[in-house]
Amino acid sequence: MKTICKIATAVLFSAVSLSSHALDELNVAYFLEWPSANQVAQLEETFDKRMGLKVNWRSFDNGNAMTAAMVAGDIDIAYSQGFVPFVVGVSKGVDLRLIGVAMTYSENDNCVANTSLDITKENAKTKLPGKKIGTPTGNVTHYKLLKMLDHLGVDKDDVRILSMSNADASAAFLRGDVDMACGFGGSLNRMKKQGSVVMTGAEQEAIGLKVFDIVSVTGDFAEKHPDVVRQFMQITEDANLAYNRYPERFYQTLSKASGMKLEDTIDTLNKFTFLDKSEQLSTQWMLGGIQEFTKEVADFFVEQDQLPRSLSQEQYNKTIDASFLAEVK
Amino acid sequence: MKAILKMLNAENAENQRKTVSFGDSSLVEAPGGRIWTFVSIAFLLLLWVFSGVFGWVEPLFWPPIGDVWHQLKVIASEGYRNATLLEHIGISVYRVLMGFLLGCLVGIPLGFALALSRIMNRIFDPIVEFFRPMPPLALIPLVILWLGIGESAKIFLLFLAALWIMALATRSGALSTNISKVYAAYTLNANKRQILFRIILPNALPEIFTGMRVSMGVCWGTVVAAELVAAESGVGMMIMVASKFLSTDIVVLGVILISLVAYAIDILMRTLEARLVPWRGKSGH
Repeated sequence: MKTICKIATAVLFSAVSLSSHALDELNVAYFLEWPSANQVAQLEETFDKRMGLKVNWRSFDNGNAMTAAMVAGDIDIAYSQGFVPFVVGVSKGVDLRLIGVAMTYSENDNCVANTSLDITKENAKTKLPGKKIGTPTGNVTHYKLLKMLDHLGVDKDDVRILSMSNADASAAFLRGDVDMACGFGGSLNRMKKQGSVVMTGAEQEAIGLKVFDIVSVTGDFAEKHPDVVRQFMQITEDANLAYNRYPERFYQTLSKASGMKLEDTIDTLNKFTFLDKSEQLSTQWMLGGIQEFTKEVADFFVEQDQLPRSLSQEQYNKTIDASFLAEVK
Repeated sequence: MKAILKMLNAENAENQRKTVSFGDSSLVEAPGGRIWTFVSIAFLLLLWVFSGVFGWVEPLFWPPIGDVWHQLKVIASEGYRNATLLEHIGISVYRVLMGFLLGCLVGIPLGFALALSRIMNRIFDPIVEFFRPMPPLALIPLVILWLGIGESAKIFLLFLAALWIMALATRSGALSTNISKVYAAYTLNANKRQILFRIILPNALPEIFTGMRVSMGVCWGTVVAAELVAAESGVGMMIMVASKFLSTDIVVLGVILISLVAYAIDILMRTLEARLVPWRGKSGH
């Protein structure tokens, strides 16, 4: 009986402490096989030390799951959430705030066609229809694919788009089950062994495709714990600056943090750009560019029957908050 | 209130003809008392309607019943991702049935082998025990590498889900045969074949049926994940893709459709069981 009482008290107590205001733990979402400059700080526990909190890093394999975990209250800050899952989330009425750009990576997210098919951007219009394409859905890869098909003059209903995870897409592509596959990171590198890109990242950028990951928080968390958010951004900014100055110093640590082989880590990092504060606080990014792009992406998904409706430009503007970054020194 | 009491009394009166009213499974399965089924379903539906009307839950967590109904109408008339609703349901049912049937085809003989032959038991027991706890979902990446992304990969996953359950249910059914019945049959000069088909199989059938119902349930659970493997159609694929766009209404619709189809199949199997195994729960071991 005594033990039962004890357990009951413990449960009650933990329930109370969960709902209380003081924060003693911070839950941050991140991706495996996705090295970022601030992972040096993650590994050295700089976040824990400077914020005086226990920081739990939780790995995810897609940005939509990050949104879901944030809705459920299990994640406070998502570092390197994809931009598209964020757009999907806020369009669905989830209270998320975009507070920074984690990294940009046009070359690290692409679609690869089987080399034997010899598909180029010139002949895609005639060669792609009827082909099977494996891709993750509801993320930037999906968006890029749809945008690219649109640009190449291929109707998305004329190709067979198969929804699969990033890793599965590369496996199916290497087996020859799909003619074209889209993915990012390690999977994309594996795909390239048997395929060639239809459009290069630079060519995609030229048609207005921005590919970047973001830092997002729930609106609730941003309002209740602005200091924690600001400190998080400060530590990340410091890490980005240190990395941008001497990238080669951090390769070893980041290889360990991301769980990738050293040469893959270096290869991936070379395709990443970590924007510092001044670059982010420009009209191209946080002060206008992203706001417009958010609306554009949402409208495009509505047009492609992926989302039921989009919000107004004003509503999207409210979800992008540069104030935390602005206070970073 | 009075009506309910009256009904309870009526049921009691019926029970009084029996010597026991608790622990006699035939009474639980006897007809009558259907009203409680309707009460529980009506209560859940009303709860759903009211939670939507009064906004008790965020639509993102659980959509109002109207939204789900609307999605059903839209998807039933326009289809979802280049396939009609019936095609989605049909292909999922096909996958489940194929996986389930193959699982039975291999699992039931395997179960008998485990129960009836010592050498077979020694050969297959470690294999069964090793693979049994392995969730089929954990094998998805491997299955893609082996079988690709076609139908065979999905059916193989479902086959694995059904196989071990069927083998174990059959084994335990076969082992539950009362040895004195076997002796009695031998005394009557029965051969091995007759022992198997006249004594052991009828004894094992109730448990085999239970195994079939359980594995059918597990197969429906697995089909959602199996359709993650690059599906173009299927209710599971509908759920997965909708969840990527946080379309909870479509997710809930898919879940309800799966439950309804699975329930219909379960009723069918129960009817079949009542026909084929009328001795269930009545055999004196």
